[in-house]
Amino acid sequence: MKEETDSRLVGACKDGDTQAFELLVKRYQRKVYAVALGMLHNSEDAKDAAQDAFVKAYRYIGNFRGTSSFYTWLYRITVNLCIDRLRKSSRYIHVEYDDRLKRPDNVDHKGSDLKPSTLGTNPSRSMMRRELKERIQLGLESLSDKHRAVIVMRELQGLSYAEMAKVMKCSKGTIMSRLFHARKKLQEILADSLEENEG
Amino acid sequence: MGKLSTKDLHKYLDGELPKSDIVRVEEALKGDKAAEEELKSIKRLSSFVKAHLEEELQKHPVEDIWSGVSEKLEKSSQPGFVQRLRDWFSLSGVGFFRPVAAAAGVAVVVLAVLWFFVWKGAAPESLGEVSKKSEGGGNRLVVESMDYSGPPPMFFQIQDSKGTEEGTMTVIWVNPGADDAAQDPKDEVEGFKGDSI
Repeated sequence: MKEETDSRLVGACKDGDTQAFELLVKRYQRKVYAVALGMLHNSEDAKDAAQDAFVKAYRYIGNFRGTSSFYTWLYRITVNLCIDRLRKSSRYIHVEYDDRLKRPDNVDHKGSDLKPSTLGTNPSRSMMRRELKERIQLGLESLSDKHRAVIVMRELQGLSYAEMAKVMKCSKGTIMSRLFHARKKLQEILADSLEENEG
Repeated sequence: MGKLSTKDLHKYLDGELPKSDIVRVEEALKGDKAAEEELKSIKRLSSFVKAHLEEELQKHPVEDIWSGVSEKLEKSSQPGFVQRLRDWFSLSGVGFFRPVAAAAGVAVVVLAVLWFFVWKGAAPESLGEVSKKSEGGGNRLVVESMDYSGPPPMFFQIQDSKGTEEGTMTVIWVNPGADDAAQDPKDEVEGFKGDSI
């Protein structure tokens, strides 16, 4: 039902109906902004990227043939814009996943070199939470743009592998591999936190 | 993890396994402590990341995106120079005169380019104008003159041997410049201008 409404609105947009487009913007602005914020980690950049994504969508709506859902198409525009911004931004440190970083399964992750020295001495739960947050943030920032995109789309938006494959124009296998490597890297960075929070 | 691969666990967690495989994974998990631990770790990681991203979103809630979008759309709808030029030359459906004017404009540009490279280039600037002063039938003297702004003037006497009118002598009088009135052939050849020899 919702898809039909989307397609009707898209059809109206193609005829130059800006009010129909406004409805689409209001419907998807939160999701688009969430993806942009998850990828860019800056609210101003995210807002600007979200606006640019909608502007681009409006300009190229004539090219949208409806073979995928409107939001998949919109996500693709958003993710590509965010990737472009990340590549241009000096704040972005590009770290590709390196298999050499992978620890052998038999290595005990306790006593990891990633464990902050203060963690064991600070009894404050809020302090630990803040520290965990910082490490998650650091972990996300250390991911490559494409790995970050799949993590955000999966964990925040709950997109399926097939939907993400459409968004990123690649196979489901590639998506699975990206998600696997991204999680593996985050697991390594957060190893001790994941164990400490057990139970 | 004996029977299970890490990728199986990721797919299981993400709900990407077919029903038959779900049963297989769940059966295998019962007797596989390592796989169970790995699954817990991935689940925890997912919940941490999700909580972190949602918290960020709450901290920086989405504002009205539409006003910015409409502003940007309005800005981008004002065509730039190239677009305006393209529109002006467009042959599609905006009256009759525009395409005609566009075609005329193109023709003018093409002619100007042709004139510059072909016409102007073929005629040397220093040759000037040749004017035939006088001619007659039979054996005759033809006096011609031209303006010339190049090196010092020269006087040519040409015996026409190939022409159809045998015995005709042509005198070419070269003027050094418009200001040199003494070189005007009118003054110098006044006596025999047009006379036959």
